[in-house]
Amino acid sequence: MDVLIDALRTALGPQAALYALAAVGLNLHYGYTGMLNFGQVGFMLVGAYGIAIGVSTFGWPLWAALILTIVAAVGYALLLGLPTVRLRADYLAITTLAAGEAMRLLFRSHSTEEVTGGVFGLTRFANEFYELNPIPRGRYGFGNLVFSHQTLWVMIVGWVLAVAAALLVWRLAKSPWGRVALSIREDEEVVRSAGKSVVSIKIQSLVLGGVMGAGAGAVLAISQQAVAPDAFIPEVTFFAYAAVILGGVGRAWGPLVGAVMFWFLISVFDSGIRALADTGAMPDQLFSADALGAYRFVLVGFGLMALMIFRPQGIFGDRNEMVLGDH
Amino acid sequence: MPDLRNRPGLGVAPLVLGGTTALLMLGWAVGANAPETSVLSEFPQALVDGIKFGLIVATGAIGLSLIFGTTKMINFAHGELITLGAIVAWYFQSIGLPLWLAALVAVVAGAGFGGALELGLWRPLRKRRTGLFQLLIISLGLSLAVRHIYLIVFGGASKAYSAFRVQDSWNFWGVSMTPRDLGIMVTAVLVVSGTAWMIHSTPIGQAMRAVADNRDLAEASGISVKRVILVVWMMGSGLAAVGGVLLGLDGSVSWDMGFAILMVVFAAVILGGLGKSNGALVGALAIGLVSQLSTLFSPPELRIFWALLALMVVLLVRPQGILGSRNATRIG
Amino acid sequence: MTTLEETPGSSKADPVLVAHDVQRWFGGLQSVGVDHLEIETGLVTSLIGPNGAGKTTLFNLLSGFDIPNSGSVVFGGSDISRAKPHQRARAGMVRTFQLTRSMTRLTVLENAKLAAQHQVGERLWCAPISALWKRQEREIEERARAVLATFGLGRMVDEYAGTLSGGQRRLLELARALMLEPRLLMLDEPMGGVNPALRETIMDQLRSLAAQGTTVLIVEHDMDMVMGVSDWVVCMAQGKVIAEGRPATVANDGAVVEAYLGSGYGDPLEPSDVEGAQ
Repeated sequence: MDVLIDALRTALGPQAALYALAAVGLNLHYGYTGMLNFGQVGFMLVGAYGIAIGVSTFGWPLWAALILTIVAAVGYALLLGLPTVRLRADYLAITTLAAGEAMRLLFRSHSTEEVTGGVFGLTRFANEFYELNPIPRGRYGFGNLVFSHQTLWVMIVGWVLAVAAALLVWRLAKSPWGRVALSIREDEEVVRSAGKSVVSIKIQSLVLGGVMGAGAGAVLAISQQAVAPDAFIPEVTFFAYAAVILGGVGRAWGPLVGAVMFWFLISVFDSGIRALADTGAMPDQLFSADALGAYRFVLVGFGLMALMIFRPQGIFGDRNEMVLGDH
Repeated sequence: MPDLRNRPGLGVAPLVLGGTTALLMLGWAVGANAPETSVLSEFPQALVDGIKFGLIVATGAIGLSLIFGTTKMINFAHGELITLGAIVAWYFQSIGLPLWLAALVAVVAGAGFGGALELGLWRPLRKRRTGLFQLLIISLGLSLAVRHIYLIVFGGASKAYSAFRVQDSWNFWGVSMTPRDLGIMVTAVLVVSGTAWMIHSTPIGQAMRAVADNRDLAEASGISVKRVILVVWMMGSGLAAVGGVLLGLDGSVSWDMGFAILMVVFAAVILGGLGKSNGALVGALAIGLVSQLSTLFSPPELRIFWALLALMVVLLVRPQGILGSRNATRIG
Repeated sequence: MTTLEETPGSSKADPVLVAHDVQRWFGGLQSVGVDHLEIETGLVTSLIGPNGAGKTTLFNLLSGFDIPNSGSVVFGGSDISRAKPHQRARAGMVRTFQLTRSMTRLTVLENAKLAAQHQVGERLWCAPISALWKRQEREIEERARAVLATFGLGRMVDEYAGTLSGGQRRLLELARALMLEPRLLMLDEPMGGVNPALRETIMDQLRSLAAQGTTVLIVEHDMDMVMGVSDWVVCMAQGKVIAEGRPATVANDGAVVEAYLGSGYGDPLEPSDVEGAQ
């Protein structure tokens, strides 16, 4: 029973909310525009450090740091997009993945330590956010499923942002803009022959989805009151992909459902692994401290493969739509 | 659209030289206010280290490029093939095999694993006409899963090969080099030139080039495309295993070493022109030089950062790479 | 038209398109080397020639989908040599593809609506607010339904384009092209893979377009069609324009016959297509 409570806590908590937000952006790229962004984590890093550096290093108020974050995310998207959107899809995948790693390496380097805090990162920059918390001090929930007023505050903000982003994507998808984006996913040449600029729609999509990723990074930074470069490993992007695919590729609300499902499953799975380790039925070496954390990645890796092989449109995706596609 | 535009590779050398010089100038500009740690005197050492690193990267890059050339798929799990070689060799030398034999076992294991992937995963997926996006995500998932299986089995700590841990180094012209370094470079050169000879002068190599050039035409002229792709997967994985052993020898063996270097391998392959095996070598050397020469003016932990930056610059100015043809990068 | 000179590269009274010294090399081979070509406004011009003559390559070069090694293209009086494909399409130079292309997972109606120009709702800032574009969208939809209906796709509007037959996809492509209200309609083998019943539909459509004065440039193998709808024929061989003139003149041109015979392609006046022969 506790396992399920823990799982629910994770699946509804700030972590799931921020992954949902990042996944909405990723879905805009992958599901609606047919762009393979393998480095959503880079946008999250920009978002998280935008807040942290703005407040901690520059001593700005939170709202100014938020503006910095958005500007930085737009700039990062343009930097990645302009050279690559004209090229084959795999170039964008490689570039985004590489750029995310390059950012992580740059931010953890000694040479940038004065600004980024190096390997240890920055802390305690979100006090202003928590001072705005209108929820009275205390604990809220049912039975064992309780959250502190501060966690609840982050959760609410996180989910409101995620829902707002999904709403925006849903509106866009039903508009002529969405029609062009979906057509790009299907066949870029046709879109060109119809007199539309593929490059500008792709860039717009990359920027918008990237800003959502940066928003997720900001939520991450605020929820933990700390950022460190090694939280932004490439695996984060693949978790967000798992959420997109679980929820249904190209479905506006899919990433929200997917993120909740994803973190519920991961939490249950982690509990299972720990229980298995405690029984002592397997060799201890397989459950060292390093190994215990590794199983969820193995699960996600094989899970992504299985989904892509057997249900590429996602669990809730429209099968008919997929059968027709060439992708 | 047909991707046939292929202008003669005019001005390749100026491009490599120009690019490297430009990066160096940038470096000097950045490092100009640093104390006079005599960039010039450290230059030869960085150059040799760069060539060594480039040669190691080349073993991985050529394999990746071969696989891309014949299957048109970028294998995001290539880093794990590199790690596999290093780990298998580490295991066999730790139970007492001489390193050269352990390395040989690693290459065979790598080739076997690559062949098994082709037969068990990629070939069936091609038969189902799985789309490019799905294939890329599948290779990514594979990378994620296999890498963490290494973590579980091999553990999180780095381990070094017990042979050649400490060696006296030779010194000449300001360059210090251990016999191990020389061994790495000689091995890499032998393996790379052996591969090049095979691609250019043997029937199977010709078949590979034919498939890479035009798969349907190759099929029509009686080449067994299936067999060629299987050979390419085995060869590419075997080369990756060599790269893993060399990389482990140069530093140490760890569960994520291949993934850590994967971006550099990608950079090398794109720099040289996707799918061009000789381009991969040129690209790898260029990227090795960029990353090592960057240490002259910037902290060593940013080596990979500079390599990736070079990749971005190349994509901006010459996305087809140094040796690539222009239309190959365009969609359709 | 009677005044037009029937020599390769001749100048026209009112050309909509002028290509000059357009060259395209693949490796060491010249695929297209057109010294001069003018396409007259208001006519249906067919581009013929044996396989490998460079017709589709020239098509791609003219429409911006491929970039020539040298040369200039002037369309409607303005130099578009450096314009991107979508800019050329916006200027009114609309093409279809040899292998039909459509957005398979969008409905037939959406496929057609995509091609309408000047859509307010395609701007990112306007897109989320439907009030800004609803009215225009309704007008576009009406027009799309009307165009689709003339191509006999009226009952298929809500089907996914991926469910259409090959011939229906040709019709959808034509409908999509017309949604752009082209000044020059460029069709790359519009009869390819089309069954005889639909061929008639396409021919009728082309004739009625021609009657309305739309300028059309067609690449086609099917000589029945070429002779049936063209006002003017341009013949290419080995990347060059070797003859142009009225259909009857070109059909009897010695160089044309020789080019076809030399390629082993047969007499241009013989129906060469299997379907056409039935």
